[in-house]
Parts: sequence; C-alpha cells; structure tokens
Amino acid sequence: MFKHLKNIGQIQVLIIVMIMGIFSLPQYLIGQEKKEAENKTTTSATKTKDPTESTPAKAHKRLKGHETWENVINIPGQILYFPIRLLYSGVKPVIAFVERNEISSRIIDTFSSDDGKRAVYPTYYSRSGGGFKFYQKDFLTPGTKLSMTATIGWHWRQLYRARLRELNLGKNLFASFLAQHRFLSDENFFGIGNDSLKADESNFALAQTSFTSGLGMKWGDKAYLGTTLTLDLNKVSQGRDRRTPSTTWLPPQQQLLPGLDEPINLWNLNFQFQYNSPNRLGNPSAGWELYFNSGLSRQIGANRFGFTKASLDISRYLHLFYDRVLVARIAAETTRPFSNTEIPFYYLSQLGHRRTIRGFHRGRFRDRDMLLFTLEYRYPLIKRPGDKVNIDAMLFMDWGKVSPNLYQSHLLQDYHRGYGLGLRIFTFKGVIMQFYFGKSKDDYRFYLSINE
Amino acid sequence: MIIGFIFRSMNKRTTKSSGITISMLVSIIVLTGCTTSHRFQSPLVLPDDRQDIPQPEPRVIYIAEDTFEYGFMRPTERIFDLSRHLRKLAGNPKQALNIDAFGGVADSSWFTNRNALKAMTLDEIKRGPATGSGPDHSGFWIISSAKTEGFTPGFNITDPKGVKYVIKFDPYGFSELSSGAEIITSKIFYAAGYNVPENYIVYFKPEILQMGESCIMYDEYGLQCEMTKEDFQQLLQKIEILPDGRYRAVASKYISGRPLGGFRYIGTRADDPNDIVPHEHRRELRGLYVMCAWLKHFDIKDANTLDTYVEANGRGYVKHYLIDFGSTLGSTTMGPMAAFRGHETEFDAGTALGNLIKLGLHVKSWEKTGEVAYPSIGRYEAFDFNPGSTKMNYSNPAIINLTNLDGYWGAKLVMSFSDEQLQVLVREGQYSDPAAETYLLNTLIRRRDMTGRYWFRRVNPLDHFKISSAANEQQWLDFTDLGIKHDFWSIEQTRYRYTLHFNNKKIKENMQFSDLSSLLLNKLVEHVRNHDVGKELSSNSSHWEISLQVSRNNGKKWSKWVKVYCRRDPQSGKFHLLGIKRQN
Repeated sequence: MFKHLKNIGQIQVLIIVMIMGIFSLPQYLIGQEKKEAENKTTTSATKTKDPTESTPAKAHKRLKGHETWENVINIPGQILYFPIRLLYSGVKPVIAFVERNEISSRIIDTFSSDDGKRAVYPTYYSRSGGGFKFYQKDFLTPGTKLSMTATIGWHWRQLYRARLRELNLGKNLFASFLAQHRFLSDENFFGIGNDSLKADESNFALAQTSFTSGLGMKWGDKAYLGTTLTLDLNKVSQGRDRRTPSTTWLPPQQQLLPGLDEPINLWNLNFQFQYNSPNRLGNPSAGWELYFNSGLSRQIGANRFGFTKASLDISRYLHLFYDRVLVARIAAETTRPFSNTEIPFYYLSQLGHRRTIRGFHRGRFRDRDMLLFTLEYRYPLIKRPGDKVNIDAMLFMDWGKVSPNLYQSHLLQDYHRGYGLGLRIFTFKGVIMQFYFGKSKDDYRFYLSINE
Repeated sequence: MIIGFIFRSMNKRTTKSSGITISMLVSIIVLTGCTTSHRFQSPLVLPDDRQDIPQPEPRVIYIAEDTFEYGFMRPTERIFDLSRHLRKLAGNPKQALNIDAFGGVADSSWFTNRNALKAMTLDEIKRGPATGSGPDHSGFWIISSAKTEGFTPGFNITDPKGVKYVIKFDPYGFSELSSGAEIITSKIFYAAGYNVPENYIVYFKPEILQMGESCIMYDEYGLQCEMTKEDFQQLLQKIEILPDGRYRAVASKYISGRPLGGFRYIGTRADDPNDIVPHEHRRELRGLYVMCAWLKHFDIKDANTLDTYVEANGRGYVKHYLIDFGSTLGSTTMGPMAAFRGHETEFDAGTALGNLIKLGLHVKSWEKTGEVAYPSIGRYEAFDFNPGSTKMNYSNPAIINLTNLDGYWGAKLVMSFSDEQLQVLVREGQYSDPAAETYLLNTLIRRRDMTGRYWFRRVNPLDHFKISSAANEQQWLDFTDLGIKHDFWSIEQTRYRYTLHFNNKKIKENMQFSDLSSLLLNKLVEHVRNHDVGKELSSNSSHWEISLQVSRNNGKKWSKWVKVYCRRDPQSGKFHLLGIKRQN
C-alpha cells in the first residue's frame, strides 16, 4: 500500500514544485545556474592558462546539428516553439534543483514513516474538494487503520474527517469510530421525482456533523457483518446563488421542503453486511462486491422526522480476455418514513453523481426509492507489472430511476441514461486517480477523484 | 552552378547565412532528393578526438531532468523542427556526421573497431575488456559504501590489492539472472567496439566482506546515511546464498581515469575541445540502437554512461563508456524483464492513445507471453522480436535520429558475431542450467539473424569493396554481399547490375553481371573507350561512379543503390578506390 503511495507522492510533489517553479522560482534558479556556469568557465579558463599543464589541443570547430539552410527554414517553427522553450527554461532548473537537493525524497521521507505504516498524501473528492489525508496502519492494535482527512474545494466546500477502522477487539470483533464535519456549500436541487426538470435547478448548502461508532464481525477475509450508531447534526442554509430549492412540485398546502427550514439532529442505527471477493485491489478482474445496509433514523428532541432506509449494491467483475474486464453493477435503495413523520429531503435516495448515473448533476433526481444498473468495460491503456502505475480506460453506461415506490412502478420503464468514458490510474494495490466524462440528455459532466 | 555552390557550402558546413532564396532552393533539392553530381564528395575528415586537453569539470546526470528533457521537451522541439520534417518528406534524413568515406567510423575515444573489422579470436572474445582476474580473494574486501535502494543491494569494495570494485548481486530468487546478463552483454559491447568496464563473476563467502570506517549507504529514497552493522546484516539478508554457502555477484572494476559523470546523447560537452560532433549525430551512438535491440538493452540513458579523463602517452583526454548492463537480455535488477519491455516505453503516450482508440480489442503479442521458461535467463525471446521497432525506455536523441545507414552499420556489428563467439560469450555467464545456456545461445543467434535480415533488406548490403588485380592486368572491383554471406538470400536468385558514370556522363545503365563478388573493371574501361568521352581517359582527373544494385528474385525487383567511386591513373591504368555512397 505504502510503496505505491510513496511513488504517487513523489510524482505529485514534483508536479507541485514544478508548478510553483513556473511562476516564481525559475528566475532565482536561472540566476544561480548562470553563476555556476560562469564560475565553471572561469575555472576552465584559468586551467587552460596554467603553464604547468600540457599544451591543450588546438580547438576544432564544433559541428552543428543544423546547417545554415536548415536554421533559416526552421525560423517559423522556432517562433512557435519560443513560448515552450521559455517554459522549459523555467521548469528545467526547477526539476534539476528538486532532484539535486533530493527535495522530493526528503518530503516523502518527512511525510511517511520508515516502516511504511504512516503517510500523508494528497487527496481529492469531487464533492468536497482537495486536501490531504493522514494515514496510519497498526494504530493501537495490529491491523487498525487511522485516517484523518481535510479537504477544501470551490465555494468553501469542506470536509474534516477522523476515522478509526478495524480496531481489533479479539475473536474477529472489530470496532470503528468516525467523526466528520462537512460543509457542502453547493448542493443541487431539482425537485423531487423521476421527472424533475433541469430548469428547476436551485441549490442549497448543507452543514453536517456526524459521529459514528460501530461494531462488526469478520468471517474470513471476505464477509463482514456489523452495526453502527450515528449521530447526525444537519443544518441547511441558502446556496451560493441564494436561490432556495423550489417547492413548485409540492402540493399547495405544503409550502416548505421537509428539512429546509430547521436544523435537524438525527440518530441512526444501521446494520450492514458486506461480501468482497475481488481477486485483487486496484483493478479487480474477477469476483463479487456486495453491500447491504439497513437502518432506521429518528429525530432527536422532536418527532417530525424519522425514516428507515435499506440499500443493496452488488458488483460483479468478469474477466473477458487479457485484463479486459466487464463490471456489472446493480444497486437499489428504499427510504420509508414512519407514520406521521417525514424524510428530510437530503436523506432521500438520489441519482446523478459519480457513483450513480454519470452525466447528470449531483442530486439531479431525488425520491424515496432508487434503482440503478451500470455496465462498465475496462481495458488497459498502459499495463505494467508489479507495483508500477497502470492506466485503464473504460466505457460505461448507467441506467437509473427514482420513484416514490419502486414496487408500484413499472420496473422496465422511465430510466434515465448516462454514458461516457473514463480513465483509472491505479497500481495493483489501490486506485490512485479516476477521471470520468459522462454524457446524459441534460448535460455532460467531468468527475475527478484522487486517492479517494 | 548555384546548386553546386550550395552543395559545396553545405559540405564545408558553412555557417554564414546564405539567404532565404538559397534555403528555399536547397529545400526543393532536398525534397526532390536530386543531385546531378556523379563525383565523389569526401566526407569531412575529423581530427583524432584523443588529443591532449585540460581535465573537464565532473558533472552529474540527473535522471528526472533527463526524463523531462528527453521525454517531453525534445519531442516537442522536434515537432517544430521544420527542416527535419522536410527531410523526412523527401526521404533524405540527416546522416551521421562522423562517418568515413566507406560509411564506417574511425577509432576514437568513443569506439574502437574490433570484431566487425577483424574477427576476434575466441580467447579475445572471452577475455573482453578484462585486464586481470577480478578481486583478490586473499584478504578482506573492505566496504566503503552500500546501495540499499531497489530490490538488490550492492557494495563498493576495495580488495586486498587496493583495487576498487562495485559488487552487484542478482535479485533474490533469480540467481544468475542479472549477473549473467551483465557479463555477457558487457563483453558483447566490448567486442563490438564500445568502451565498457571490466566485469567479473565472483563467488565468495560472506566473511570476506568487512565494513570500512565511516561506511555510507543510500536508503530507499536515495538519501545518504551512515551504515550500521544492523544495516549491513539486513542487507546481507536480501542476498541469495548458494547451496555451498557462497554468494554469486558481479564485480565491476572501477573504470580507470578520473570520473567526469555521464555523457549526454545530445549536443557536445562544452569543456571538452575534442568533442566536436553532436552526440545525436554520431554513428556509433545512433547505431547503438541495433545492438541494444538485439540484446534487449532497453535502458540506454545518460545515467548509464560514464566519461573519464584518462592520461595515456602523455595526453589527457575524455573517454566515453557505456556502463550498467544488468538490465539486458531477459533481466532487470528487480527480476525477469517485464513483458512490455522492448515493445513499449515506460510511459508510452502514443501506444496508450492507440489502445484507447482500439478499445482494447487488439491484444498485443507481449500480453500473451506467459511465465518465464528459465528464471536465470528471464524474458528474452525471439518470437516477437522486431529489430526495427524495438522501443527503448525513453526517447534517446541519438536513436531518434537513426537512419537506415546507421541501422545497417549497427547490423554489421551484430552480424560480426559468429555462433562460436556467441557460444563462448554465453558460457561466460556461468549458468548452472545447461538448458538455460542453450536457450540463451539459440535466442541470441535467432535475434542476431533477424537483425541482419531486417537491416540488410533496408539498404544495399554490398560491402567491403576493394580493387584487386591479376597478373594479366585485369582489375576487379571486389565486394561482399552480406546477404549471401550470412545465408539470408539464395545465390541462385540473386542478380547484380551496375550503372556507370564517367566524368559526370552516363556511359552504361543497368548492366547485369553474373559474378558473385566482383566486377571486371577492364570491361568498364572498354565501355568508356567506346564512348564519346573515351579521349578523357588519358586526362588526370577521371571520375568513375559505379552504381550497384542487387536483386533477390532473378531481377524482378532491384534494391537501393550503392555507389562506388574510383579514380584511374592514366599512366598505369590502375584504379584507386575513393569511397562509397549508399542510398538510405
């Protein structure tokens, strides 16, 4: 795990320093280089004049790579190349400076432990922006993983997360803890229902603080059964363009979206079952991934909000030939209120983000139930062995719909479709970066995630 | 007349601006690839580059800097190099600048003509660059520094005689892999003519190693630190022990002279007055590609070279070495060579783009290769070898400039190795598995022949021209058809023809002749005598151009030409060979 993180880190540090160098460092460094060159010239000249040394050979004229006529013909090309050469002049000394002073190695050394169990590395989430993640293995007990993440994005989207996973309590029992605060300043809202209109777009900001503790049991390496208790503190406020979500879809007697007008504190009790049998990390070519989650949520201090939620997500990896892989996925989610309670609109099932239908805005479709099908064909662009970086391309097609009640809707009708292509940069220990381009009837969207 | 002036200017490498008009004219000529002159234009005679110079400053080659420059900047620069595109369109690429009148290179600080000039004896081949027998085992080997990064450790040691060596081990679990490759490949490069270090395979007990005072090491990040005894013990655990309790390693003797850092495959060394030919236009560096493709030496970069300042015969000059051959044949220092090596570069953007478009429906040959057959050999195969499209680790500027003529020159080096010589070289790898040894030998031979067949097809492979005379005053232009010599084509279906120009006038065209390795010059004299220009035979300045072509299918299709230039002494009637010109 850490081996590849270190490699990635080196590249990223190099890129950051290069970018810095383009704007600021080059002039200083070029100056230094010139000084060094001048010193060398002076030294050589002095040596040549030293009478004690043997007489140097008569200097012959150096041959040129280009002849005169070639130089003349190349003038237009040289003019076009000039800006790149200028950039090159700036970047090259920076790279040399970084390598000469082992800056990249030193930074990696500073931000990672010698035993490879601890590291800080950059991360980027399409929802909450870019930042850094601190990661430590074997924290408190062997196998326990501690991670702390801080990211920030456009419009002050923020995420702060501390997570302790797989705290070994013995006898295959594990505990987990999560504390998280996220401020999502730019969430989209298009109404509720499968036929909500893009023209009804509005936005809101959601500040959510969560505390979760969990207890689980492992069966072998593949199966996990667990339960979590979560406290969610939610507050919705106006979005960045100060347009509150539309209520035009609501019945006339109901003037506000459930959850829009007040802070809501909820406790959630969830039960999970996971079964993971992919043959390898990073780029699975065979196996299953199954997640089942079922839980109930209740408002603290009031009885207006309360609901149950159940979700199932199954992925199947099928190896076609020579690392060409077909991924088939089906996911379903259902949310039901208790009697006389409501569901905060941001807890409804939704479609239109990277993990659902790519090509739509996030939160494009919201309702109580959701059904999703995905087919993804992955094929190698750059295929390297060991812990080297690989690149896969993928073609994908997503179908999905939301519904107030899936059981009462026609199972084969009213699907929204998104399709597109993407790139995945990974090692056989984990995914480093994913980039998707998705197209839908509404729009096209780009998605990026780094060390997610 | 103007064209003549231009060409004279070009040959003299005039640096004065000749004006846009002249340049345009030249570009038209380059595009059409035509020239009316049938006189020999002697290549520039270069001075010996081993003349006395002051010692240049040492320098360090930085891999990231190099990768950025060669991987990104230089390719971008080439996009804007219009003259290069013009030449490519015209099929007239820039040829190497350090060639002699026969397309070869003179002995220099870079290269010494060895096996291809005169076949080395099996003893010479076996000895290679060695001047001794390796490190002395009579006492301790004192470690001065250690390498810990990567999968295999290495030591710098001083033997009891005070001679310094670099000790390099095989990757764990792959005994004989990189040590065998290093020995064999370095000796092949030496026999071909390149300067390489002296390498020895050594077997030793761990007790012979002793840490020196203030022994330094480089950790996995390349940072320098002091080595402790614990570090040393940990290092030893990374090395595979043979059943008899010994280690096997390569001992690479420190190269004599003062190290100056690596050489670059582009430009010249500013502080070396002897270095006047841009490295990317040196034939021995361009032609190196053919050797490297044969031996699967994919990692030809600046960092795998070394310049040293040597003093010999009262002269001090810079000598240029190729070093580090552990990642050749089927080996890398981490284990068997990855299947993609030779087919793709480390980050092959072009191939990746192609793969993107092909939607993964095309499965490349290297993707189908299974496990290695011989762990001591690694992945070195002939079935998917393409001598002309083998890809190196990154864009080496000398290799980018490779032309067919450079490739032909390199192929001659490759083909100079006989089966017997290769057998001796493979035995130097000291493989414990005879089957592995046989496999390696057969693969080397097969890849050698594929190399020869590929490059000899791309140009006219008539070579080794000389003029011989018989007692009856008959004179012959003797040559060797390298395609026939190496049994690539059948003698029965091979035909030759010539076109004769005398003093810039065409005398005969496409005259076929049947002799396999010679052309009767007296017959050519007769042609001239029977022509209008016959009276010019007695003048002192007679220019003979004999353009030769070869056909491998009974004259249905003819090869590119090779032009042989001669002068004939009007008094004695003797022909003198001036040089040759080969169509690219």
